[in-house]
Amino acid sequence: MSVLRYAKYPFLRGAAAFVSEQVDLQLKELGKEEFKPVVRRAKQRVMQALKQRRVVTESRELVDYVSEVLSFPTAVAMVSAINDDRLRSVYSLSEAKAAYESLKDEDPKTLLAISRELGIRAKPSAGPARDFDLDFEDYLLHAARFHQPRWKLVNRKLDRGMVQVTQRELARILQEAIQRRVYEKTTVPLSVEDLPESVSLEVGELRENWEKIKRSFGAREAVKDDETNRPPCVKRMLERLSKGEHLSHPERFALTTYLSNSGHAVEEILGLYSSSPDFNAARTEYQVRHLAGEMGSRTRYKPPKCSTMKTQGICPGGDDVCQRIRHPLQYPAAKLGGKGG
Amino acid sequence: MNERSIDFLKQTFSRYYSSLKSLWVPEEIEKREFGFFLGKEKAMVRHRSFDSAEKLLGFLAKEAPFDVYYSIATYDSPQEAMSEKGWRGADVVFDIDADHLGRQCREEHDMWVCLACGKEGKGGKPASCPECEKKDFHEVNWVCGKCLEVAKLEVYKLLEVLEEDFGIGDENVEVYFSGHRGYHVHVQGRLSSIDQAARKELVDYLTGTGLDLGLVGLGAKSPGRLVTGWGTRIARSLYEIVNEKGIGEKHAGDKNLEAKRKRRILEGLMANDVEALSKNVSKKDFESLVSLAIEKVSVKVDPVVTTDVHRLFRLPETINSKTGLLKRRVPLESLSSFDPLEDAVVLKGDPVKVSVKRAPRFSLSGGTYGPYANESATVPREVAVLLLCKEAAEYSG
Repeated sequence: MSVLRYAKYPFLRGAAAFVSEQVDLQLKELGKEEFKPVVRRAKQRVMQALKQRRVVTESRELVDYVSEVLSFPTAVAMVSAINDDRLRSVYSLSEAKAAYESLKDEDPKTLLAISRELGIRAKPSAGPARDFDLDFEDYLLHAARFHQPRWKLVNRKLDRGMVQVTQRELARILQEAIQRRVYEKTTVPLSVEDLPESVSLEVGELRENWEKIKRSFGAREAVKDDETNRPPCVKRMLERLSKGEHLSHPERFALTTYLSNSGHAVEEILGLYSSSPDFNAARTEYQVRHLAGEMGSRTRYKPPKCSTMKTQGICPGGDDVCQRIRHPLQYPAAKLGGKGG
Repeated sequence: MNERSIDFLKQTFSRYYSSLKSLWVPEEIEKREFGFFLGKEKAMVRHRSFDSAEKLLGFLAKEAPFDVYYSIATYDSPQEAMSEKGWRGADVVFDIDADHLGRQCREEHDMWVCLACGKEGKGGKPASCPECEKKDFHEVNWVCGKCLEVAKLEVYKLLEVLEEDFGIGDENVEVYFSGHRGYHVHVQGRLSSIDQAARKELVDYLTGTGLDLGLVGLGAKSPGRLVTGWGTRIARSLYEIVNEKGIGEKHAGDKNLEAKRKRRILEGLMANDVEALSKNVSKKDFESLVSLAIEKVSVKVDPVVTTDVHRLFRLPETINSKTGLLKRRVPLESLSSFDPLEDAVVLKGDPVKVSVKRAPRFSLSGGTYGPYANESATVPREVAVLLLCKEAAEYSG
């Protein structure tokens, strides 16, 4: 692959190999004068991620392709040193989005070579020219969480384990794989002391910027559940319960976890189940306390996502607020604010 | 169930496990969690692990558990608590249960008794007693050959989608009768690394959940050529429905015109095109034909069980204490002739005396028994085991 491509896709294994043939870069040497442009560009990568949520590569930066390629592992080292999972997500997504912008118009051969390198099995489609056939296991690995209907496997062309995708779609899936790879790279433990002083000063500055941005996200206020702001699924389960009807196991799980995550005490929840046809006080209490995180592993379980409840057949069909949310716990805030929480 | 009945079952199970020379075990047995019901109505003993088939078989012969489960997941430390196990991957197993299929024969063999007033009725239990409005029932559910045939049809549908759409051929699939009301279809050597979200997509694909008619080619305005895996299946199903039942007459009395019309519709469907069909029936009829086709195409796998990556499944080749039948592997070539009520019976033996509370007429291992109501009966051991397991009788020596 050409040098310029490595500058565009610096996360590829080949890019690292290529660079190490040109310069033998060690972390502690980053302070040297000759690597100043590398450090400057690395810091810029992280800043772009923080401010624009996308790393931007100008064509003039491709001229000094060695610095451009080197700036990627340097930026990764900076993010590792700051050691914050949310920053890891923001940064890896920004790198992946930059790659997507190039990949969507990339020539098919390069696209397939990059897919292969990322462990994604794809080939030119047996169907329409310019489309691709993608192994459905790889498709699921990366696209199962996309929530638009057209990404659902049930709505795809699927034949003998191959999913037909357009170039744009393949690029979008590669974006996921790239994000995972970059994220992984930033989890390598690295302390600021391992960096030369001039670089650790830059890291300190980045960390300050990041803290400022993080504060501006603000903590979202939880809205307490009451009769006026319940999602239709919870409303219906409560109605059925009050009529003494039987709730299935997945329904009880969803209802209990919803209530325990929206400010209800275990005792209140137990009261609701006491009218259930097969009420067993001791067992119900054990189960509710377990789900509420008061027993066992001490994890408070979250209710399933909307899509999971649909799969389980316990979503009664949403209202217009449901259109804007993906998780029942987002409902109260969405209803109040008119926006997804 | 009284002590004598429990002892009788334990002895029978123990004798069976002691007679085995070998036992089916999953790959990487040392990374699996095992769980057992050691007696009726006791809590499950979980988080056990075994490093060989011999040790597991030794345990089964000694303890004669009522039920034996293993994790479809593999773990670094299967004996630890859930949060400490270290999940590595999990086999994909599809669960098909006759209970979830609207069987008409339920009225013939299922019944309920109100624990408060003694009122009884046929079929599944009601929400509340029609007599006293109380909600506590004793249920008697039986499995019959018809129920299991319905479940088997779903297995065939599943195998077809696995092969044609997912590219998972027979060599990667094993089918088991569950020992009770259905089948487990295990996928071997494929898909074990996919997570819960991906498994959900598989289940949604099978059941048709989230199917977007517009994306399939069945948009409200002008239905035309159907695309995607599901579109093709819907077209095929519509073909069968129209071919079998016709679509009502338009040109009353003119057989020639009618035949022509039907042929045109079928030719369209053959090429995945629904245009001719949609133009020849009312909008309402078209919609209900499509719904019917979707219903026929969708594979009724249990969504909760199939997406659970920590699930414990019954170990193949062990006894199911709900019936005394074996969870038994069914080679694909003999699936069509497999009769669970014959081929999964392994606890055969000399006649045994039981006192039966109540049981409908049922068949097992070639014989037909019952109906019984508060009477004593001398029946072959396998029949006694079934009656005891169903808690319809007690052992009386």
